[in-house]
Amino acid sequence: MSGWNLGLALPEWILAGCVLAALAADAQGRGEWVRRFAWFGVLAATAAAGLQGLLRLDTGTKLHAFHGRYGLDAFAVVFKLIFGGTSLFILAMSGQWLSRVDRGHGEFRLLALMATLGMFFACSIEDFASLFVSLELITVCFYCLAAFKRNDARSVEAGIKYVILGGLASAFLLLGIAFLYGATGSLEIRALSAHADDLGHAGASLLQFGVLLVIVGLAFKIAAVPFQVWTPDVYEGAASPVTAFLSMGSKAAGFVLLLKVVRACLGPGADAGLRDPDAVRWLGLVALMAATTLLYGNLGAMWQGNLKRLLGYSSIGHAGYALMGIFALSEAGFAAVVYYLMAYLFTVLGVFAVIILVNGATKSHAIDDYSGLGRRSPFLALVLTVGLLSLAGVPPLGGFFGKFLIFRAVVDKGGVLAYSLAFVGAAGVVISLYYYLCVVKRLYMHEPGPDAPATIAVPAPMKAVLWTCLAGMFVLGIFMGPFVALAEEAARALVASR
Amino acid sequence: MLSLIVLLAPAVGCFLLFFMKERDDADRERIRGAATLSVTASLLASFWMWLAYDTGGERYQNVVDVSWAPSLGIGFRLGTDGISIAMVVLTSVVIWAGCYVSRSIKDRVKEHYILLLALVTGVFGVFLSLDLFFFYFFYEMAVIPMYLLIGVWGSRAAQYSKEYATMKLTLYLTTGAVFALVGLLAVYFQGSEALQAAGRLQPGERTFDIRLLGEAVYSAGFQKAWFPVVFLGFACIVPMWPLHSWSPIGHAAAPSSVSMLHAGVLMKLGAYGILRLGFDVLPLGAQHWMGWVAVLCCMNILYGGLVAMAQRDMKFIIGFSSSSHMGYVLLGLSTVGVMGVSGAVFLMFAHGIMTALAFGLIGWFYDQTHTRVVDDLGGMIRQMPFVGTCFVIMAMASAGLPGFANFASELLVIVGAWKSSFPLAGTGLSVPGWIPTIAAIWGIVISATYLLRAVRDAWFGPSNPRWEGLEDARAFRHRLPFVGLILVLTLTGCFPRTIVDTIKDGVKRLRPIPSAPEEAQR
Repeated sequence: MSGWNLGLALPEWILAGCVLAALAADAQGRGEWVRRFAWFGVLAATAAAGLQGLLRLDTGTKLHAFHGRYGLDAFAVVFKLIFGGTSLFILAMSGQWLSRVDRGHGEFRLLALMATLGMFFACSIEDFASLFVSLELITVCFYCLAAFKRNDARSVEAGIKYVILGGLASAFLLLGIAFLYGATGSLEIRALSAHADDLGHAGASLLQFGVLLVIVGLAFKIAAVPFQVWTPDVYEGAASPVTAFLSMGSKAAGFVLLLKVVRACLGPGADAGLRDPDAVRWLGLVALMAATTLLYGNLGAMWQGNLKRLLGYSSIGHAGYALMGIFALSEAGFAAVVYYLMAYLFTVLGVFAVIILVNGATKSHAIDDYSGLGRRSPFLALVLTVGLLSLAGVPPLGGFFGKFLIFRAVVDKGGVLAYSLAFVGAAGVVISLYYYLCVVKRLYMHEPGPDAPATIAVPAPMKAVLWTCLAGMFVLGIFMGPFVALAEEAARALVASR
Repeated sequence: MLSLIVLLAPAVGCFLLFFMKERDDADRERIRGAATLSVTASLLASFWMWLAYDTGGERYQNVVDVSWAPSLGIGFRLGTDGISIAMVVLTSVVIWAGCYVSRSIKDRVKEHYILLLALVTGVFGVFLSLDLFFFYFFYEMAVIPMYLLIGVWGSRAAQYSKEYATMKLTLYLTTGAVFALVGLLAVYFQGSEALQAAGRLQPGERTFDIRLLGEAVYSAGFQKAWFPVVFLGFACIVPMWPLHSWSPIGHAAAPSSVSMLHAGVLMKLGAYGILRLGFDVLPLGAQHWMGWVAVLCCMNILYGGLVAMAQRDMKFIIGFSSSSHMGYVLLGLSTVGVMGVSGAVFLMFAHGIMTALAFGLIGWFYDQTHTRVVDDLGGMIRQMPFVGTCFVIMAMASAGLPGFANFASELLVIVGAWKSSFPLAGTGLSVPGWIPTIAAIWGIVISATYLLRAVRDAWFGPSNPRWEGLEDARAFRHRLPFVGLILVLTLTGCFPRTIVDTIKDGVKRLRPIPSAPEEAQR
């Protein structure tokens, strides 16, 4: 664990270098170079992370750099690939959208690139200081991105709401870290695991309070109830590519960090695996959070007339499902979360790609303006339908298998609490199917309005995004074998890390 | 191999249709041809499977077993026993006829056939799966195409819009499915644990293999606790009273080919799930709870029948009649004996064919009259003698006239019920067999009443001048589906052993059956 081992952080170095280069290029007013650096940075960093995974990691190994403050294992690699893929999709999607904006092309890509750096970094952090830095890097970029359309009052409102509540959450997180430092005398996350047994005891209130505050800070990122209030407004107000990035990248980063903290709370990982999760007394709280989150999100989404707002609520619901996976506190549960996020990547980005295209033609996000899309643009309607059905969890799509793994992990846990949570989740599936189908109904069963635009043109990069997302949803839903193995590898690495 | 052909023929057809263009009528004809071709392949393969079935041989035949996600114990496992062969043959006959009946669809033909083939792939998948995961996978997969098929191509059902009808149907079916899923997962974990203890699986290994899970030993407490979860999940789709309200509305709103498939096949998925999982995996739970089911299904039979009597819309009559007939299926299952259960499976087959025929015929005249209300119709037999005759045959079959499969199967169910008694779990009471039997016989009287009344009012009597120019099914391709269905119905009715032997062979090997009273077999 000792030694600097600087080469290990190659993906981050690449990204950081590209951020600086793009910054310089933007200062010179060379927007074209910013675009190139952004593409190169994300592509090279993703490739580097993938190659590191292939070449330097055997099953179950974990490599360290910066004297143990930075770790690389299968968990980190899988998530770096997820984040790299997200950023690539966002860059491809934003080209179409930026062409409709007259300024700030360089800043947009630069901020996206910096947020990606933060996400990559978040996968590898090993102590609370780095956790905070990586999280802030991501969040601050998103503050700016959310308010990117500075002439649009709703975008600015979104930015301000996000800043105020995000700042509050950061304060909670920081306070929590301070408590933990006071209780354990160390900033390292694994120091927490040495005290895991105390978490259930009455005497260790400092420690318990610290963990609670850290979880509050992270729950804000993943938009779990009761820290979800910002989500629909920000989703609606921010520009569509930003919303897409927020709903996938930012949320997944929150889950990466949450998984790491939750793992540490379970105590030193014996090689045999996790200790008996029944000994974890704060589990009821996680179950409560998961249940309320998924009910709030899904019930709230039922009344929405704006598609982006609907997806904002539904993303709260999806955070609830992923929390169910965390509730399971088992390798299977963590693997289910990883798989869920993999499927979510293709699903939610495909949906947002359609939203960007339709919005370009109609200047509207109202669900009513999607009427008759099935007749006007059959391909877009198809991708949107498949995406929404995958979000709802319908086979043979990736979203279904993600949910299936989550339910499997929860039922595996057994006990009244787990079964009740599973039934609440099942009710959530039905509710979510209702509002997703209400959108699908618009697409196919309603006739287009008189002033609806004819066929919407799809530029080449968007076409690539749409086809990749479509293929990704089906592959993850049908040929799940290798991806399950990947997710399990990541979960195993997470569980084994100490 | 044959099971793979049955499953993949419509899937491949569905995939290929995506790449076909729909610009003019010639294209549409090509699309219809491709769809019909793919389901004909399934039809031939399923008949071959039926003829080649080796009674007394291996329990599961035509097995395909491909490892899929080994760490979870998921395998792509297909296979058929006597029960699933009957269901696969039923599905392939109904979809084959449905493809011909769908020729009346003129709008968005390509999308229609894509969804129809996706739907039927799911249905075949359920009947063929020997893997619990894929069983659920295909089950869910069948629901969504239904939503779009009814919502886009359907019609208003009395006071309900088609959007309302299809949403209600989808939500009911999904609710049933996800609740069953929790039960299925519990079975998966419990069964794998039992198999590990018995040394059939490695420690830590798990399996979704229905064949293995069906051999595992589950504690009586587990079976009694989880059987209701699994049962209620599937009972939504049967549909059992009082969970049935989605079904008649859904039937009425759907376009004819979808009504055919829905009433003919989709409703059977529930009963099949109960057999495959409730019975085979949780036998003690089935024996424990089925007495209550016998009581509830009497409500199905009588209530469904009485409501059907009050209906004036032809599709609602058949819709409620379906829910009444599914009551007989549940009654047969609740006897937990060879005769009753075989009768139930045979009735699923017979009712599927009969009701598909009914909806196909209703669709034929509805496309021209745009009304299904019996009071507006009348004397139509003069305009369409062929369709009218087929309708009368259908009504006779449905009312239980000897010579049709419905008679033979209902007889098996009623005799099976007569000879059993139904203990009501938790009360210490037991319902003697004659009580549900009398309900069932009254059900037959009721169904004869509403069917004969419908025939009288719609087809005979003074002819309504509005219907002067109605066209009969004259062309060969228009008559083919009706003739095919009637043929299957009469052949299996006159020679029931052709299919009952296959079904019985499958039923005998269900787990709770051997422990049932021996006299039920005689």
